[in-house]
Amino acid sequence: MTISKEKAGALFFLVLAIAYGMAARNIRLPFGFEEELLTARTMPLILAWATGIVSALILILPNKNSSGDFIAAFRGLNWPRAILLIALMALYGLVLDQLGFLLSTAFFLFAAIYALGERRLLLITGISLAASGGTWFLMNEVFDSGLAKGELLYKLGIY
Amino acid sequence: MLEGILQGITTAATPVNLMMVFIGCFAGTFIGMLPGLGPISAIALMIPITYSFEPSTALILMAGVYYGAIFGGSTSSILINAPGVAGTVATAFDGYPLAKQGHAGKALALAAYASFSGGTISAILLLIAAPALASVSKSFQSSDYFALMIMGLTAVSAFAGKGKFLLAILMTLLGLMLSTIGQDQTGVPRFHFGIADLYDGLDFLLLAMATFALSEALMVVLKPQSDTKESEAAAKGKLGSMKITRDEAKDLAPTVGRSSLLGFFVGVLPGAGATIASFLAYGMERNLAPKKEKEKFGKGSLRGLAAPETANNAACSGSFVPLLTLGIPGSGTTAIMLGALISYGVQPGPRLFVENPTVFWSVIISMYIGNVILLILNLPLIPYIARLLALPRQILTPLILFFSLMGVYLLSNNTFDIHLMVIVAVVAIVIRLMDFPLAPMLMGFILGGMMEENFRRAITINDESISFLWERPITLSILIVTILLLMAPLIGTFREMRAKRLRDRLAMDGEL
Amino acid sequence: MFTLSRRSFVATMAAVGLSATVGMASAQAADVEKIHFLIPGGAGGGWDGTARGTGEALTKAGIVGQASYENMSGGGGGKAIAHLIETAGRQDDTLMVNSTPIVIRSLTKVFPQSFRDLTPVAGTIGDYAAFVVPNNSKYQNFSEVIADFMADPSSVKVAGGSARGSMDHLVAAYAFKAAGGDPKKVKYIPYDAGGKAMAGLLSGETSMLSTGLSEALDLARAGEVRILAMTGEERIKDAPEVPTLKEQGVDATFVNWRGFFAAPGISADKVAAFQAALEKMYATPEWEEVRKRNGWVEIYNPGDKFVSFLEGQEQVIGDLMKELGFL
Repeated sequence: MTISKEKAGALFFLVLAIAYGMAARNIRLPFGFEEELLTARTMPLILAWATGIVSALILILPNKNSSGDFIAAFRGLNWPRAILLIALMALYGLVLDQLGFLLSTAFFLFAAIYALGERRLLLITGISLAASGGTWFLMNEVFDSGLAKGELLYKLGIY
Repeated sequence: MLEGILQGITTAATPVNLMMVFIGCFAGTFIGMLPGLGPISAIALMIPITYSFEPSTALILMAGVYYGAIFGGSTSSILINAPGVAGTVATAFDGYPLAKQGHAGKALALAAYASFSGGTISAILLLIAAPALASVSKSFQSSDYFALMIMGLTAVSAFAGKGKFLLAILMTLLGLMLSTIGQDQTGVPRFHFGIADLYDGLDFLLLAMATFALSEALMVVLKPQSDTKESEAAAKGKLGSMKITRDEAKDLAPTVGRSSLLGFFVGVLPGAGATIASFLAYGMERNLAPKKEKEKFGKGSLRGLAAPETANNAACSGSFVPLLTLGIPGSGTTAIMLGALISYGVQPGPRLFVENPTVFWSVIISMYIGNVILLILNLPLIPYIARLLALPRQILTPLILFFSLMGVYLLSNNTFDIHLMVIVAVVAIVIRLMDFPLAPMLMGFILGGMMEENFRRAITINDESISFLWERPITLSILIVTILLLMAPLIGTFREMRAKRLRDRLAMDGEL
Repeated sequence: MFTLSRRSFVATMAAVGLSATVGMASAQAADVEKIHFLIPGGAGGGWDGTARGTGEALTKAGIVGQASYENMSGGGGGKAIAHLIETAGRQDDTLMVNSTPIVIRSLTKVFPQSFRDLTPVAGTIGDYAAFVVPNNSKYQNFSEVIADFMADPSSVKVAGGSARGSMDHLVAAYAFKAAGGDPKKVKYIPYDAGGKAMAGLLSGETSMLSTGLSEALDLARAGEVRILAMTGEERIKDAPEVPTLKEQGVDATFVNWRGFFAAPGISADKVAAFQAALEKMYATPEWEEVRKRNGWVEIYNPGDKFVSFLEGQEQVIGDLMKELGFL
């Protein structure tokens, strides 16, 4: 059996609406605010209901303009490469405070360009260093807003 | 008044001042193209340099920087789908598809022309009506803003392709839900999952950068076929023609006119601004477009590019009305400008127009000159800027990723934002693969927060009653227009049906 | 969100422009060799302007050899506080800028720490709160507002540029409470920025605006509004025409301070050196230029005096927030 993209998406939204609605009911209101006509919960609850109803409609109504099978949409794509890039970005966020802006940026750009198939190492190094150094110069020297120097580097006694 | 205008022109048109506009436009365009640096930082950078200048010279420089930075933001929206400024998010909707199809040159040129026209029309409006328009800025109340946001939300149908109406609504709702993250106006924190970094809510630019620029760059990696085709096109340095044909110009003229007016008036309202103006203009044009053109929206429609570009520029000029005549800044940029004005010893307010007409008019006229210079400066630069696309994919993609992450990170210095962007980008990729439209989500996000805020405020002010919906004339009129807008497509269908019936009958008559 | 004062934008940027000169001033002997300013918010905010303005005055006057700045936003300022505590061992030269919100946010548990976990160095500048009405308002003085409030609390709608439960709201509630009213009944209308609250006031949907005095003075100079009262002990010399709440029979004073904190466990000598440097700064023309440009009010409040002031403010705000239902 195939599930169309619309129906699969609507199912996801239905789940989201229920979760969101439950979270909305748990919003803690300050003491004495409960009696007010509109509270911090009102709009979220309306949104949860609306999302629930619209997604249910999509699930129930016949699908005339289906754009294809849900599973097929995820097939035949270069996932390893994309996931590698996503992981590199996440890693970049993780090490930025530790390694400092200069090092981690240069590392991120080098790794990402290499991962996409560029093999001229000199060129990659040049681009990575230019981009990270340029941004560093702009922020530190022109804007005078200190970028992360790197906790780890400090602990190792480098600066 | 005429005297003041003439004096303003003489002040603005001295060689020194003209040079300042030129420098300002150039610096502004450059800064605006850099990640994370929009008009706010561009102007802020200029302020200390201008301390020693004449007030009017300083203002002229800043006007150039302001327009330059906005244009710079459009450039990155069009070329790499990375809106550097919130006001140019809607520019990416049709600008980027155009660039992808090999019309980068045309898209950039059209953006420049549209900005210029928006600037020209709104400069004229400022000249005739600035002092009078102050009362418009003053008359809008929370309930009116609420109605305006509702009107804006109806434009969501603008993003709905054939049979995708319900999907567009779902995505708008998602945007509305995202807008509820963080502390609300009564100080209640919502949906922060115990993460302190979510207390202040999501940043619009973060959302836009992650859903557009990051996810687009990753999609290119995901779909290797399109990759090769595009890089081939890019390798050939395919800038495409920069020419706008006469037919196209004729077709776009009404769009530019309407968007200028709409953008200007939205800009005049201190509670709205350029971003809202660009979204509203985009929605309006989509609703007004004939059926065939309608389907091109989001896929590289010239109208879809011209409308937000015109409107955001017009709105920027419009925001000078409350700034100069009332001393009220409606946005972050105008807030900085106000600070700058005060530090030059110019006190905006109703008396500025009377006591210091030279400054008042030279500000307005120099803004216009900024517009002209920007066009002269940027048209020849476009081929060089577009060359960026000729970079090989394996180098361009990582740079786009870096550029987008920095656009958000440099503002906060908080690595949490990087992780948040990665998460949003992953979700956005899934949504794109499922063929759900992303633009309505941004629309819901930007309008939703303001809608809730203004509605709750209106209710509190009106002592827990919703009678303002029909008792306030402005609110009521906007709501009526909204209903008419919603019915317009129905009326269109009805007319078509009647016309068809008429034709059939005529055809039958002919047979007889 | 902390309120962004547009004056501080200017200060920031002035500091940005002068950054090139900062490094050079260190040639002659300075009182303090270097200060690293930790700013818990992004560039362009109120904290940013205070740190950079202070740093500019200190280095240009030759009191401090070198100043550097680090922006660290996140968690309503909590991230910077946690960072300062975590890395206290090597933050000998660091001063973190902060202001009234550190008191409010530690009460509402936005972050688990409070000023007690740091070394308070000194409060340096402040801004009083002010109440503003449009020119055509029927109110001529604050007593008339109170009279209306007593008769029908919901007839007085107070606008402010920040969420309910933040400073603009608390100050208004505090003033009505001191006048004998019920602070819970104050009808506070929140806007998301000062400029928008001002627009709301002029549109006639609210009756009074609660804001900072320096911003109120700018607005009044623009010619659309009048200032009914401010929350200082006595009138200030920059605006002698603005009456205090106190002289109108409402015994409420409030100051939104800004000041500096050092890392916990820092030596007493170092704290004394910081304090001496800040105190010396006030007499310099370089400081006067920065101060005037920003419309800051000098409130020097060092060491133990600062701590007891903070404790007092925490008490008053805490009581008020409990009464209002926020705690």
